[in-house]
Amino acid sequence: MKTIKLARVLREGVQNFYRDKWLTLATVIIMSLSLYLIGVAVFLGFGVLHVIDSVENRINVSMYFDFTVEEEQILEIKKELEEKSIEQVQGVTYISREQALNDFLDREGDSKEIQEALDMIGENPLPASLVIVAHNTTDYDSIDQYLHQEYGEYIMNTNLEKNKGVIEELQKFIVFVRNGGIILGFLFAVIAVLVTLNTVRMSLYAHRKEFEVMRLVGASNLYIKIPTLVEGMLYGLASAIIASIFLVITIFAINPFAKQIIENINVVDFYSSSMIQVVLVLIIFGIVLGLISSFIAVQRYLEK
Amino acid sequence: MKLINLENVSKEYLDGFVALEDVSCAIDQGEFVSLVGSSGAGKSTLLKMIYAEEFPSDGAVYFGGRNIADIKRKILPHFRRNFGTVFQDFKLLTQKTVFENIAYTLEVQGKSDAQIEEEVHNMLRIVGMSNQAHKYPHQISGGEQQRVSLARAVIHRPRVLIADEPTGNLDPISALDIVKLLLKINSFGTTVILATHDKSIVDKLNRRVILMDKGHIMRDDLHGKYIISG
Repeated sequence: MKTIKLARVLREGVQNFYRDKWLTLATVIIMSLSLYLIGVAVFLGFGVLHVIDSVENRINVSMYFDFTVEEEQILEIKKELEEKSIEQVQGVTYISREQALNDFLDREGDSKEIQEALDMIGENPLPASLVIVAHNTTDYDSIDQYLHQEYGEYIMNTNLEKNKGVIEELQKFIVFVRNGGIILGFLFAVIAVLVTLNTVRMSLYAHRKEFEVMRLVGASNLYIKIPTLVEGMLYGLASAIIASIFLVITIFAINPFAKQIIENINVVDFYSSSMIQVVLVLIIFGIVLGLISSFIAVQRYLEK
Repeated sequence: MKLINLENVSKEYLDGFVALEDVSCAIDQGEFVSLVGSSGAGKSTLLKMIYAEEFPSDGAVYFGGRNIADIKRKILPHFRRNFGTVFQDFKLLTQKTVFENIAYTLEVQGKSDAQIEEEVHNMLRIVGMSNQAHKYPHQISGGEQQRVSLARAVIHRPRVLIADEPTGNLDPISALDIVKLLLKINSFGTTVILATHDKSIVDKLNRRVILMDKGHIMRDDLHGKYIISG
């Protein structure tokens, strides 16, 4: 008897969903919009985080070595740093004197004046260096201190002082963007949730009188409740699918514009890896949201 | 012991309105009772007391010797299966067909599909709606909707059928149809309590009549007519 009843309440829920077409349509449209906004917020967040990451990775501090220090010694130091003698370090790159010169020439162009100047000096004037990237932009001070303390005898100088201003500015900007993004995303989500709650509640308001009738013919509260919850979950599922479709369309649609603004960017490629996850999360979120909304609503209308 | 006993029942609503005042009466199994009186006399409140939709502020209502106020909330849905209810506004489920509306009563009780199929078709024949089984409520007339509502109310063979102004929205011919059905249902042994202010119906019935006014029972005649006491 229990299984018969369970099958029946599930069927009821599905019937409610497809028979009341206008109500379902209205609810699903509004709910899709909310979920779509959440999806957009999530994707924007991904994008901003990616940009922040790439900016952060471009920040680094270089330690320049005295000409007397042998390459082997430098590589030894590199190894020590990589093996986490200091935990704030994310990565270390060795730039030999030759490479430094090549980079310099690449940057400045192979102009005559420079060539002449170099000839006058007679030898490569550039020192070898280790380029150190920190996990966190706030760590550079302590890294710099550590380098001076441990390897002071080998070091010609570091460029932290020179970069300090820029790093701090960037640091502030990153914090601002990140916090702003979190607050905005959170606001988006809250608004979407509230809109959905109210929409589902209003849809179920239409069923309010039917709950009373069902009670009068002897239906238990659970027998009335479950179909409504199923209905709410179906609203969420349908809305999440629609929102996902529009999200994918949006990403394909903005790709050409994004390419015009930023070179070498392909929004579709960038998001394709996270697309499935976001869609899955959106669907689960939609179903849970529908479930909770209908639960709150039916609880209200059954209280008596 | 009578099936239904009201003992000194009073009902005062939260806003201070007194719907019933010190009402006592008893109704036996198989009776056909008409409850008459003008709007606001307390007919609907009295009915609600019987099927446990409202509870008395004072006094007690007994069903089969059991005080209704003592029934646990969880058991109430089961208790309500002793009753079938019909209202002026039919109260059909708009998203269900005629067949499904009637079947719903049996579905909530966990009857098998085969049993439901058979019993609902029988009932549709009794109320003369066999040809309209797959229509939705908005596709049939008021009289037909009330017949469906009646079918739904008695499909599970309740001990008591409560009809609150069932003919209030119907033309005289449809109303007569409904009354005939009520009599038929009563003839199967179901107690029928009919609240109405349709004088012609009550006079034709020649059954027990309880007259109410302003929350009191004014008359209780075994073979009554609709008489408004002066």
